[in-house]
Amino acid sequence: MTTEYLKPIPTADTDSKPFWDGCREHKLLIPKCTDAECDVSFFPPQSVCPHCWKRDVVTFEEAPGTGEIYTFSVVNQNKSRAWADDVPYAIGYVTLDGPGVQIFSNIVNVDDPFKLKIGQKVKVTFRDINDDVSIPLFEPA
Amino acid sequence: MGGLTRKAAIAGVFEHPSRKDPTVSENAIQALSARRALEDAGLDIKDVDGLMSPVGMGLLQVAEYMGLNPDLVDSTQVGGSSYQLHVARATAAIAAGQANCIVVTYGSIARSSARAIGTGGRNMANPNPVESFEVPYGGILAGMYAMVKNRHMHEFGTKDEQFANISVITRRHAGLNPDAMFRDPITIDDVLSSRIIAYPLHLLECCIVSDGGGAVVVVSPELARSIKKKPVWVLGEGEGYAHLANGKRDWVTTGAAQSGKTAFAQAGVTHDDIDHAMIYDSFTITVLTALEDLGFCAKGEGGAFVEGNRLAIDGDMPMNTDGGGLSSNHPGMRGLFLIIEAVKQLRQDYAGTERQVPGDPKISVAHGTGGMLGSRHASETLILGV
Repeated sequence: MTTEYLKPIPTADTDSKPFWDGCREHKLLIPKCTDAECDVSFFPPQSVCPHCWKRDVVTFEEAPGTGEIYTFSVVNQNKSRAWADDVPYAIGYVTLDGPGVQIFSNIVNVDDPFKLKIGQKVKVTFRDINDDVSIPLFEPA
Repeated sequence: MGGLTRKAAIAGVFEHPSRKDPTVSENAIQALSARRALEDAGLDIKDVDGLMSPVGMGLLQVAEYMGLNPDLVDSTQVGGSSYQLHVARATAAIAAGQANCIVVTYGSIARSSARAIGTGGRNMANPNPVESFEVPYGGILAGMYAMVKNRHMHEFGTKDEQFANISVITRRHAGLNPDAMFRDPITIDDVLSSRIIAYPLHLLECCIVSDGGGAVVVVSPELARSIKKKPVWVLGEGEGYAHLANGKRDWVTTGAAQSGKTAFAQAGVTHDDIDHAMIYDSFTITVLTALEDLGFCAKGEGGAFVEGNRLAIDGDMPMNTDGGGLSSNHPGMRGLFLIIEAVKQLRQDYAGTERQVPGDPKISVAHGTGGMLGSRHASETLILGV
């Protein structure tokens, strides 16, 4: 990275650390409650299951990293200097194959973000922000 | 009917007319507005025993500024819909005998202080662990709403022209409001040729940023008998809270599906009974989804519902007759203005002018949406009647 990274950098806590640790290794780890009555994936990550409110039942499983665009927007104006060179850029929810949860991110590596389509297949790609933090982005599959 | 129905009345209202005024503070707007709302009711500062404003702990400073030692406060913050919630909390408190005269206040200098609410407000340098799943990707507020519009168009074939008609009608109403920030008529073409802020939302589908504020006075039935103006009664209120649903969200359905059901049941009214509607218009999609989820039409039929003249002041269900957040004012949290305009229409304050809803309006719905569609939001439905 030649220029200073001005965008917000994620912070991890005890709920989200396994997810961000996974991103550092370029793995998309999605939390799942293994309690027999739940047996359900969820997102964003948390250490206590949002359904049964138990703690030791939550595991993180690697998702295949593919999915489809559930919805998106192309941001054409952002008053922050950090994004000045990025507009227009695409934000969106991607429904992940496998766990079936929606994840919010950017859709990158597209010539014209206005031509993206809901339902379009995408796959994860990781951006290494610094030595400690990588974030998951998506690009056309 | 039941619950909060006719347990308290709105006795007085005031909307601060400033759209840009760097000479007045947010606390000053609240104090000035509260005094004028009390004058509107024919009540006095010494009658006030409750204070509500959605500012968290900051409420203590508001009380200090106004020299009040209230018996009861509420400063719950659920975004722009906080005021619907506060009027309901005020009604419940009055019904429980905890207070008799509660002022709900708002003051904002968003425009004077050049706040970029929709296009810059989420660029925090160090997002907290939850925000870390949204703000590092530049998910500005307008973009979050835009994603819901895009999905609605995808699922139901809703057209840009239909969304644009909401802006066109609202602007026509702003032309009747001398205080409105933008009053010149616009066409559907004007909306669709305005620049894209966050695709598929155009500039003229986004609320403006203004200064402003106001106050409403909520009183007990006993006190309502002695006021200057016609009391406007709380008939029903409902609340709905929506979030990411742990990654399994139906993003085109809002909290209004929950809040509307409760409010209509409590008020004991049907949609045909609604003479006037104030629907929070942060963006055109906010209006369209709220109308569907409140049950004015089926999910997916909002596009057809907002076409034509139905929502105009001379239409079947006049909506946002003050010009709304799209054209009149939006200092960040617009919910209070929905209540103020509903009260004025039901009291027929504008009688004899084009701005008065014709006929004899008896029941109005003031529905707020706070936070963000496309993320976490609160929906608060208040039904008022005379």
